[in-house]
Amino acid sequence: MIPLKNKDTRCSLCSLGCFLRMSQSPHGYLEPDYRKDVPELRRGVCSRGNMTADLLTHVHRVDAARLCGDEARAVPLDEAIRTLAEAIRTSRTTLLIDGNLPAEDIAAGLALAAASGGKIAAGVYLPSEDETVLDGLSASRARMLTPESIAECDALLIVGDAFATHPVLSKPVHALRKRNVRTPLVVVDSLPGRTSIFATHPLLVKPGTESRVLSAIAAALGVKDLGALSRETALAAAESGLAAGQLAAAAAALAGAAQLGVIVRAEIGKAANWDHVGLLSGLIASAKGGGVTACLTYGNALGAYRLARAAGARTERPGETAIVLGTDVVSVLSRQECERVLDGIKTLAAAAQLPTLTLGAADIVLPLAFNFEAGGTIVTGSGEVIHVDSLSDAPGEAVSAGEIVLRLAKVMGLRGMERKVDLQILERMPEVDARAMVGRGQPEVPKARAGELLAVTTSDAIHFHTGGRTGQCAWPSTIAPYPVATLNVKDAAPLGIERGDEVVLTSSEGDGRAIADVVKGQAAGVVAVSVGFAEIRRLFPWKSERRTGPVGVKIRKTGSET
Amino acid sequence: MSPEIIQKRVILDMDLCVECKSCGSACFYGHKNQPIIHYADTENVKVPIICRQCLKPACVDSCPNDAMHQDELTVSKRSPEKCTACGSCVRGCPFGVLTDEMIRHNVPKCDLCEARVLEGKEPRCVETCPSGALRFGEVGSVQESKLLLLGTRTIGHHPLKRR
Repeated sequence: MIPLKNKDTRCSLCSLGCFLRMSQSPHGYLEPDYRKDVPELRRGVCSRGNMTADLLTHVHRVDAARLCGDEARAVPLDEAIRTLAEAIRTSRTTLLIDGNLPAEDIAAGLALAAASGGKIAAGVYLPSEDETVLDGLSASRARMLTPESIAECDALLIVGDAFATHPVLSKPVHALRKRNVRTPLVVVDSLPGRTSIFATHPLLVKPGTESRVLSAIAAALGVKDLGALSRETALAAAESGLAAGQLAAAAAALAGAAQLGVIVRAEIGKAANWDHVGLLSGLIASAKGGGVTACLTYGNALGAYRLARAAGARTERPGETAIVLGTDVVSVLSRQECERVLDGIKTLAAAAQLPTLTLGAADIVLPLAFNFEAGGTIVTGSGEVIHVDSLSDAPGEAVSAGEIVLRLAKVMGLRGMERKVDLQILERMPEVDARAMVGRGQPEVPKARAGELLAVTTSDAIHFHTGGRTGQCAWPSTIAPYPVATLNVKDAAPLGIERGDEVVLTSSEGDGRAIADVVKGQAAGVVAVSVGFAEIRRLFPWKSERRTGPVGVKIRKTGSET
Repeated sequence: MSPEIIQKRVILDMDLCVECKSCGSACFYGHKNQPIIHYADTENVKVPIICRQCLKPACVDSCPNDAMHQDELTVSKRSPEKCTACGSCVRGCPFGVLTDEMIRHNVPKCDLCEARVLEGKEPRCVETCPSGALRFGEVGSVQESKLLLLGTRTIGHHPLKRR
């Protein structure tokens, strides 16, 4: 039985920081429970939050260090760290820190790199879409909105399918609708997702044209100096596949707002330029006296972003020794990129809570505690600095990433390091040059080549991908064990694809298999794929290029030649 | 709440449901990893199908082994010790709450989180619902609530399609 230390905490599995309670049955089972002592609009926990107890008690928890040479063997954690320190002494080292970790752990890793006298280069891993949208939001200098304050707005603009990945945000939006059913709710998305069904003005745009629509709305609301980003309403409507009247009506509905709330859900495989989307969203909100809430994939994305910016952390090329704290970097790189990166690494040390692809490739495995065990500070997508309390002790020798860093520093002879963070950095909006961002102008509208469909992604609160933490829990495996590719009837018929067929999707980055869903409502020429699966994520270009837009894919039924 | 009978039922407001499946997740972990809630899988919508806890339950009537039974609080439950996974209750349920897929798990069945309800709490699916679509209320009060107003937005030609 795992001793329960503190039964109330904040969830850090996404950027909302929901209130979470853990109870323990007389038989020792840990069960998530629900708090009544929090604002009504923040009650409830999504499907991911409900998996907390499953994660804490997971049968495959990594609870001991291992050295994986010709023959893998379990060793005490300190011996593994001494082996790692020896590798660092003789080679150039890269430290990659997961942006999901508490701020104290990220700060410790960055401090180790700074104190190492150039031996260690540190970088913070964030998904491209999180990083780029935060660039844009920072450049806009917009006020951040808490989820509760969304209900106090008098109009809403939502970019992306926020309810699919952050369902807790739906409650304040519903509260707003309940107060006045005519409250303008404009949703800009390239798929008819779970958010757009509630919209008064659903703007179903062509994939990759979100920023054009936002530019037109911004201009209509009086935002000036958009430079190369600016778009006339008629042109933006034509480029994004909307009727000019439809876009103008949405802008007019927002124009009457005194306090406009903007929610941005950045997703890989949709907009190619989330920095522009973030910037424009912030400018629109500021123009109408409102603010922005960012729905980020990583729980501490904003904290990690601010720490990395303050430290100027950047890793261009991995060294011969690589230390990966938390993130499953192998599963998020394309196959080619992964092979290129791994080929150059002589010693790979990886710390994780559950088995991952990165752990499988590691020479040194380090057991890592969950945020719910180690505790620490995170920054929500609304800019709130909150503390995640420790629910229980970590199993075996699992410790926080910060503790691993401190022990490593001690072995390397670096003194005076602590697991702490400067809260001022976490509260400060970094300086990002908006002019340079505007100067790049709108990217080209993504187009599929002959014989291809344009692939965009559908998201879920659960990450099913191989090695994904929530994907390894018991409940996801019972409900959706396969990825889905949704096609329009007109696209499926010539390819001989029917609902339920297994199909192979091939992009310039790789290929993946999915089960076809053929519907009338899907936009022609577009295939929507479930991004939560690693094999589907590999269809899209990844981190190194900071490209996040849709890709052209060829699609065929399994067993057919073309 | 009357001690003799649980008057309340789980009510779904379809105009608030965002199809996040949090209810299924909460129910699964609250019932020791048994998948009880499943989802309507239509082209338009995937909403949870939750047991209505009928006052005259067909699943209980159709069970040949008395595994399905209705207790004194009118909550229909399953005794796993008596269940032979014959599937009679699946065929008996007119609302599609019990499915063939559940047979391999000896037909797990919603028990309205009776232990929690008797403690004054709400069923797990209701407490976790992040959108407020699930409520634990008396059925008679539904028509007096905003649900009727929002419900009129559910369009007629397809019972599960919203706008």
